[in-house]
Amino acid sequence: MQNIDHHTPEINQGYQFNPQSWAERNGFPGWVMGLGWAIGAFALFQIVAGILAIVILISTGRISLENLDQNALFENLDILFISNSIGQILFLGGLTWVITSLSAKKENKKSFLRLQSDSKTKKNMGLAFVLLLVIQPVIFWFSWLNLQFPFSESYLAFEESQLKIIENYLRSDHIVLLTIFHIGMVPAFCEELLFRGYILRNFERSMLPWMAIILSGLIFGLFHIRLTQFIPLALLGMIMAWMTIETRSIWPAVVAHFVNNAGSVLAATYFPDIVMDDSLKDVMPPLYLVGLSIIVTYFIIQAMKRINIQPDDGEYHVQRYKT
Amino acid sequence: MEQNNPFLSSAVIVGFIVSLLSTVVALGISYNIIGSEPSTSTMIMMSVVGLASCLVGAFAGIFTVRHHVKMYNAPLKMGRGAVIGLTSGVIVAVFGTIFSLIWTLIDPSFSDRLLETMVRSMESIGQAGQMDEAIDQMYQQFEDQKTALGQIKALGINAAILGALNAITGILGVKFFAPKPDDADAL
Repeated sequence: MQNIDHHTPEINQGYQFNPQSWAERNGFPGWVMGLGWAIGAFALFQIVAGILAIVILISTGRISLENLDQNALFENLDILFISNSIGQILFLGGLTWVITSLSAKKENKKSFLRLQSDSKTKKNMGLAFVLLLVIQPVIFWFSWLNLQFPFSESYLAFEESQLKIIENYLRSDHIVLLTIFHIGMVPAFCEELLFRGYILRNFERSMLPWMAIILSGLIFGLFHIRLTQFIPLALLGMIMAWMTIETRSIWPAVVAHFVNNAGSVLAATYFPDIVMDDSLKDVMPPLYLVGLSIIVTYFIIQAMKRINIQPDDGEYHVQRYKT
Repeated sequence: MEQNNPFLSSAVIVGFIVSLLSTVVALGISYNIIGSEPSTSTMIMMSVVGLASCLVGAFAGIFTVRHHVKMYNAPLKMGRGAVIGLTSGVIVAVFGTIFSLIWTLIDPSFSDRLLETMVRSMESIGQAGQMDEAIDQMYQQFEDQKTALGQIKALGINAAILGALNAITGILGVKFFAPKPDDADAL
């Protein structure tokens, strides 16, 4: 493995790694910082969001301590969404911003997390929007592939029961915009800040970009603790990581994430009988559609690459791979 | 000056010993549970098994750093301590899985007897029918653990938890045992 985590200032996609950052001074490799915060953020988010949901449910009198169990939480999805959003904003978003201070100086934080935009960002966001729509048949195919793994009956039943509750919620008279806020907007920004902002950038300091893309994608897949959806989620994570490195900005990935999540909410709300048809779950998507999706996706990726060619790209790669 | 000396041998040696200790502690408490009368305290003891083996396992990081420092007597940065600790945590998890697999060969009825004791304890503290769901889940959990996928899942979770804990204790190890740059130069 090529180690580029050295102690001389290195120019990486507009961000100059600061040798005086706390992490560098104390010899923390980028992968430890990334992996450490992935585990820390996950634990804090799960614990706090869970406790918050219970506190809200008990204080509003919806449940009592005696009948408190996981089903009680899932039967109150609106509260679960609220506590989930608060947890995401606090830990995946807010605390990630604070933790970034360990790896970058205050004035460099925005560029470290790739929160900047340039003249190409709008075009990239547009392409990311189209890419996420076009790639859906491939994602469905990987979902189908993932379901072919031998999961235990109890695990499948557990996931099925959770999906049923979400399905009932989406079929009910819910406020679409509010649901999109909780499922689409908040995760799109907070999870991107964590995965494509902090974790990916730290991984890039310790390994080659393609390794950072794969590893951050796998962690993104695991983070959602849905084993039946691990492969498609990891693939989405890798695509968004590639997008972030290629466009040098987190915003196209934010758009892609939003399209994916909000699109699912809209589809399930307006076409519930098609989207939630159980009989379609085990059916492999038509291969011609998957093939067509791969071809169009390839062209969009090429278009994205063409847009983002930089005059200094040659020099940047020479510098990067010489070390 | 700080050097990046190899630490894998220290991590394997300490990881093996700590994992062995952790397994002995867990087995000791588990056999104590099997031999006891079903009661609420049995359930409490069961949660102690996980906690105790986790606690013992968390010391691997600190001792690996100590072993490494003894070998090279060179200053270490906190980040290096975290990497050493994380590696030893993962090694503890791997050895732990191997030891538990070996134990199923030595005492094949162990997990069934433990499950039986726990079920009887749950039945003794709950009213009829009240604990059915929890008992079913426990049966399923024990069954899952017997499959290869269940073992891999458990190994992954243990490696993540022990890796994170030992990364922290590895940093503590640097604070306690690593010589400061000036001390090392003087030697």
